[in-house]
Amino acid sequence: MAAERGLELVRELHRSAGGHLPPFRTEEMRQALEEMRALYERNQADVSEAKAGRTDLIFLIRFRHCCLLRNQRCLLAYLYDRLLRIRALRWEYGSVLPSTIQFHMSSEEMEWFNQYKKSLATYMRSVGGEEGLDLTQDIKPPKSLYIEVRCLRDHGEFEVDDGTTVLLKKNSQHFLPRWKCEQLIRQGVLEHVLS
Amino acid sequence: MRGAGGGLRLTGWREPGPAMSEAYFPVGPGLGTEENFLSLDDILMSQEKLPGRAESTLPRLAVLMGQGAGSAESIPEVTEEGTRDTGTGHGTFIARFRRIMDSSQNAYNEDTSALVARLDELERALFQVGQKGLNDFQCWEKGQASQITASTLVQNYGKRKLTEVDG
Repeated sequence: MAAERGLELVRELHRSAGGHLPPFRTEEMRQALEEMRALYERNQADVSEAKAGRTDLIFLIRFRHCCLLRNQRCLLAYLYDRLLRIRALRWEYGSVLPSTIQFHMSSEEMEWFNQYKKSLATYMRSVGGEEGLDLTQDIKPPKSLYIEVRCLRDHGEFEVDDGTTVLLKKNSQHFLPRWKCEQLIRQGVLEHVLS
Repeated sequence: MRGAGGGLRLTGWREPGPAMSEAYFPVGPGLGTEENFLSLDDILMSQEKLPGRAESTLPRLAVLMGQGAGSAESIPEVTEEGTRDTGTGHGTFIARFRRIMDSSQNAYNEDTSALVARLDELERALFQVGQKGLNDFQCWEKGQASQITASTLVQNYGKRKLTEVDG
């Protein structure tokens, strides 16, 4: 009645620290919407009765309406906060999400992520002249073009600009162009070594 | 924030805490008596129950509340008013604030659980802001400000894979 399911959804997100995205609660969402539908239908019926003279029902109608608004607020906040977390994934993970995270997203959220990626790509292409500007790079101020990196886990072959490949084996160290490594460092594959 | 004098102003966004993602900016709580509609904090805060008394007969409400007639169930607060009363006055607030700032700015790389145990939500947020400032400064001093780091978000996902039991 007083949006318990909606609140549970809000609480779950509130508990999920660090921007972590929990699985999309389809069933709880469906139940909350069902609750709203039931409240709405009862209000429809009671409004007719109130119009026919039962003014003592007005408080109840208002109360149900408050419950509906409360439910609506909880569900909107839940969906919106999840989108904020999904947006953060584009900036911190990259444009391809691991399947474990994808399983936590509803199909609409996946669609939203794809649209967001496109908007961001379009925007980045439109600034910075001919080649565009990758805003997801150089989050920390760069000091040099090349950086020393250590490999934290096996990642296979990695192609550098002039066509040569490097083998990213655990614990191997390499001197590589900063912009090529940035995403791998953020993903925890490489470690930026300071001299 | 009431009683804070001239200086402190909380923005509509929450600053990322130490273990938080750097790109996730949730809708923060509202200022003063205003709530932010989409703020998870404000929704949970306004869930506080207040005792209520029916002034006149309320038909059909008992059924709605899932109880028999004559129940003394308190109605959860569903209206807009949801301010938190600090209750203890201006002076105490200033004193607590100073202590929080001091401890957050001087506890570097330590276990802070004892320090934050007796603080409420707002005070914990302040403590975290202080800690972040301290950590960022130390990082800069060591010349690590330009070091590319792994995303905390990514690291947290990695850790959870091992421990999470998904429904």
